[in-house]
Amino acid sequence: MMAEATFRQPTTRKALLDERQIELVQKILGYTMLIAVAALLILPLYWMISTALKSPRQMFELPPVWVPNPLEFNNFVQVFQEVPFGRFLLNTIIIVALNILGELFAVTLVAYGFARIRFPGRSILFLLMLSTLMIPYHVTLVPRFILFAKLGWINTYLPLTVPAFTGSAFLIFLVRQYMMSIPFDLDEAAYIDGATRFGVFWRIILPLSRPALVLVVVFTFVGTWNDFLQPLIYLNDPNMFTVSLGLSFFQGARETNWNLLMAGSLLATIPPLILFFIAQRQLIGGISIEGLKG
Amino acid sequence: MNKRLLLALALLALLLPTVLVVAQDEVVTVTWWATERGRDTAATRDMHFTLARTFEESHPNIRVALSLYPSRGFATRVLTAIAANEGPDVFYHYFAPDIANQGFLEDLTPYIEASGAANNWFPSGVNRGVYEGRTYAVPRDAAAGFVAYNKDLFDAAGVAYPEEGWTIADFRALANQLTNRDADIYGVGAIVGGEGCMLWSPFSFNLGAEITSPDGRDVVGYMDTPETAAAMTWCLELVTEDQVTAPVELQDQFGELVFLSGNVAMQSISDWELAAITEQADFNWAVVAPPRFDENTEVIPWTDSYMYYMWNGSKHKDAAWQLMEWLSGPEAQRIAAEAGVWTPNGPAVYQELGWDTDPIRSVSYNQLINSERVPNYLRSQYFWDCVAGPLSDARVRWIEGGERDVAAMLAEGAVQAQACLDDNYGN
Repeated sequence: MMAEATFRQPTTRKALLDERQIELVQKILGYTMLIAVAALLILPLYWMISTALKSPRQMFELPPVWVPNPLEFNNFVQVFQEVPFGRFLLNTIIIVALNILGELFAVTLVAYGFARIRFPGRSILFLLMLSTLMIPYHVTLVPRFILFAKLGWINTYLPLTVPAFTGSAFLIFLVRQYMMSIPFDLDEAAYIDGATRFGVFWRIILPLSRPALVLVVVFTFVGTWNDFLQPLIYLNDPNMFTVSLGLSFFQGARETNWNLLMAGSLLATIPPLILFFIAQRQLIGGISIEGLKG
Repeated sequence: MNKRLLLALALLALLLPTVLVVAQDEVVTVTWWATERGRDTAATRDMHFTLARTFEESHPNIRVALSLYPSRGFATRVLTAIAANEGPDVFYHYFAPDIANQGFLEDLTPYIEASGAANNWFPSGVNRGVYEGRTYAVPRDAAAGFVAYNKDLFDAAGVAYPEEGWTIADFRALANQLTNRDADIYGVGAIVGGEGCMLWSPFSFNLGAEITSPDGRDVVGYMDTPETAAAMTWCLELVTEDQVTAPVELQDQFGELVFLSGNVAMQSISDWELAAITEQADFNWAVVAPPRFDENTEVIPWTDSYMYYMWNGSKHKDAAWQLMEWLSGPEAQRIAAEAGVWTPNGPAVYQELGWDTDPIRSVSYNQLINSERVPNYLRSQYFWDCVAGPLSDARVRWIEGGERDVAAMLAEGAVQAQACLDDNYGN
């Protein structure tokens, strides 16, 4: 036994070393691949930053200039000189905030109705709502414009914000699916304790739906922040324009101010980035939960 | 009775000035929507507001509500509003003249005839707005096509500069002489696509070819003629046989103005590109009139304009016309020219500014005063949907597929294009 044990020890150590070495190689390979893929994904962002800091001449140099010299920080100043970019940012933030508020208000209530309340015609209404997802936006462009024009809403923020308070069909569907995954036992327990229907919504369902609500916030934020067509259609006064419209001023049909466009785009990505970093954990949690239960 | 009459007269005398003042002060607001497809800068936008305010000063009863949009999506903005019966009184755009058959443009013929405004414009600017004998648009500006050349590259190669009266054969010979691919120097700029050479450059006319009929309805008998096949072959041979055109990578980098790279000896440009070249070129350059077909022909000018339109749903047509007339007239044209934003739409402002004798501007001026033809792509609103595709196919088949029977390819393309045009025009 003794001899066997002594005999085996070096073999085990060697095997362990082999395993460690293999693990190390695997790790190195894994990280190398991850770094390579990450570099590939970061490349467009880097190019945007690099172009934002180039002079017009450097933008067109061959071979391409990766690190501009000198760094043209003045491009960022020029963005604000060429268009009222600060005003555009403020306008966009106001519109985004109202949209988030509206979507959260409408989506949660409607989704709760579809998910938790049994009423005649619920399935038909839900299908009807879902079918609106199939209508391309451009089909309704003119009728919507006529409606808002008749209401006297053109050149105001109302067409860009009020519809959010009726809820987006896609987001309602998303939140409804999430709410359906919450056990009904919780509602029943709350009812037994004397909670009203709104109380169950407010105290039980809404807090438990937080990951889905984070998605609502993120989707609404990104969608509204990047929206080009609606502000273009409904706004006349350049002082009321949004960031996406403002950036388009740098992009003519025959000529584009690439350095200013990139500098402006870089500035425009900062608020969404801040939102992402704040909501990162819940956002990823929300996506994974949606993936599992949705 | 007399007392009553006197009282009534006294009251009338008191009220009359008030009524007159109200009538005089009745101010109408005209909406003007604009965009800038080229150099969209704070300066160009400010210039628009300067125009609006200057107009208001001389027309106290008309206010101008100016809205400026980015060029991307401008047509969607205008057409959506028109479809919803909320269109602008005046707007400018780049439609083909037969957009008039869509029914939303005001026929400006009576206004133009009454005012004689057309006498101030270059001939192509007048023709550019005519559809079936009626005028639906007035020129915002006027741009001519010509050739820019890099004097440093000519000097380095010891080659004489091109001069007015040169021919397309001279152009080709110079392009070959100046090309040095090892040194990354190319004779010709952005006409690499073949069909580009045939479309948006003075070569299109001076190669002796047409692609569509003057009314834009027919391509059979134009796109498939031996002259057009020869012209297309000439353009494509610059790319594949002579290999004197700037490579795609360089064109991708610089876009339309590959001339700015400093690696291109000659490029067909227009007035719309002059400002960028003036500001950004860090080499010596000059411009020359486009080459003519041969020694026995005259150069055919290639010119273009953006156009002002009036929506026929406008509630203030007379006021809208006053704005259009003023914008296309000498005062506004001078303001825009002095701001370096647009080139004037008529000879008077050119002469007033001395541009008719300027070494650069006079090249353009000499083209514009003789301009008659409207570019092929501006003859039909369905051009890009119906004609440009088959034309581009011939280029792809030549360059990528190695096919060389241009006549057959264009004949095939003309049939396709004609069927598409007929379908759209309901023939």
